[in-house]
Amino acid sequence: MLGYAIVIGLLCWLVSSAFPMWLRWSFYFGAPLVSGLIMGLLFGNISYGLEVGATIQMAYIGLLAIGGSLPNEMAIAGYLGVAMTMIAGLDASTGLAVATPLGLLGVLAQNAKMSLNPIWVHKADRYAAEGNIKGIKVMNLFASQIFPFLTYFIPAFLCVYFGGAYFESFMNAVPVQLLNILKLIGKMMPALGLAMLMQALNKKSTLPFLILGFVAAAYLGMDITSIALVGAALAILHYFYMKKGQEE
Amino acid sequence: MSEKKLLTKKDLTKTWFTWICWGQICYNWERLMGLGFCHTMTTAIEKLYGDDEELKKEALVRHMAYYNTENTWGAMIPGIVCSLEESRANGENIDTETISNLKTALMGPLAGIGDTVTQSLVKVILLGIGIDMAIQGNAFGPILFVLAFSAYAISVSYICFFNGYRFGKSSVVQLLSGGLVKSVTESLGAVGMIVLGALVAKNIGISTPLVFNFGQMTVTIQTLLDSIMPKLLPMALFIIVYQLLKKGKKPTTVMIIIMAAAVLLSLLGILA
Repeated sequence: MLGYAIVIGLLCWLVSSAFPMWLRWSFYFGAPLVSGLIMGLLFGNISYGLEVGATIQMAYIGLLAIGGSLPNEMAIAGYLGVAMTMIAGLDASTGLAVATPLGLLGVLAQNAKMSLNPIWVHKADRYAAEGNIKGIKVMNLFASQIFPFLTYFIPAFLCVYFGGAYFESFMNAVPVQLLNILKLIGKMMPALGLAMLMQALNKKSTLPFLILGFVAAAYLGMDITSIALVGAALAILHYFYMKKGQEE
Repeated sequence: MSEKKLLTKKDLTKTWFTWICWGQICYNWERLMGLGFCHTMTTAIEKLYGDDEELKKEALVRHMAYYNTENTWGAMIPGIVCSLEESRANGENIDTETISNLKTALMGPLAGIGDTVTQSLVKVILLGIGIDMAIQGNAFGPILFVLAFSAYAISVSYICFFNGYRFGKSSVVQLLSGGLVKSVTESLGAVGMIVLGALVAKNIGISTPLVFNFGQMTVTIQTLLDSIMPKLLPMALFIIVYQLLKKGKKPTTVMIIIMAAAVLLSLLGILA
């Protein structure tokens, strides 16, 4: 369990704070999905990992981080959540009920880091006034990692190292009634992410596209790639008609 | 007359790469990406003001200010700032206030475009495809997502940074105020909406186990609902949750409402 705990702890820290930004995006926003593959490889059961990861990811697909805050910490919910679900050998649909509370706790880790990091910014202020460029770089690249390491690595490590064994027996003792509730929460939660997305996108003029997408999936059973392609074609038409309308 | 101090392609590439790698690494509630922005500018500052200690200090302090934008589209701003600092270092009449004001003025709109396109469009479509593949047991789903999203972040930030540098502030202002961005954003929003509609049908997996017996006749409610419209319950739930958000309920509150509703509806055997 020590090896797993170290790898999972490191992942939570790297993905939340230390990866270069362009890489962090996919590892963070797609945390459960990507984690599904990584944990699948780690625990030697890829198909189980993929199923757990993809199922949890559905709930988070629409979540947006605007101005740096999310209602759930994706690194913890994704990497720790998928790992704990797999350690306990739970059904994929129960996974979200494990990941969400962990992600809520993870918000604490994020807030602690965000509140403590100004210490290094103030140090960097001093270096700036002295013209010390190296000092600024050290603050940004290395000092900035002290608190995230403490607030992400350590809780995730402890959770896997000490909690893993108990977690499994704990979840086995949970009554079926409660598991059903957890599964239903998992099925209902995607509505929140999608509704948040709708808030960000909604315009009267693009509302018909929502209906088209729904019909394509619910009645015609098309997959996302083909629906996105049809959507792209319609959007190009929409663009031309809009331009035509403006010209007239 | 001293010779002109110009930023080379190598300096600019290094600046762009620093931004897209480390612009947000010391994210914090006080100045958000302020330190990351200063770090990004160090290459240009060293080159342009390296021989004048006072100007160098001044520039470093200037770029430690509060700063927050979206990383890819927002890469345009360090690009513009590089071009302005370059002109300033070569004696053109650009005061420091203009540079700071421009940063502050642009970070909002670019974050607006960037957050919408990156998070509500590109991310959602790529995730949708990745989930589809992973659910069918295809390990390429997550890999495709990571590769495609990283390629998007790198290429868009590169294009935005160098265009920002090349055209300076006037063209950006033009671009942002012109109708072009508006119609492009709306068209992209249309793709987002169609995918959103599909995800409502695919990702909200609720159904009802209710069965009624009238004498010898058995009525399965889910079959009845399906004959009215497939995925009726997911759509209904989506509309309810959207209305709650629209009325100003916080996402965290809605999350708790959903959990409470799930407890009730599961215990009563209405939903599963």
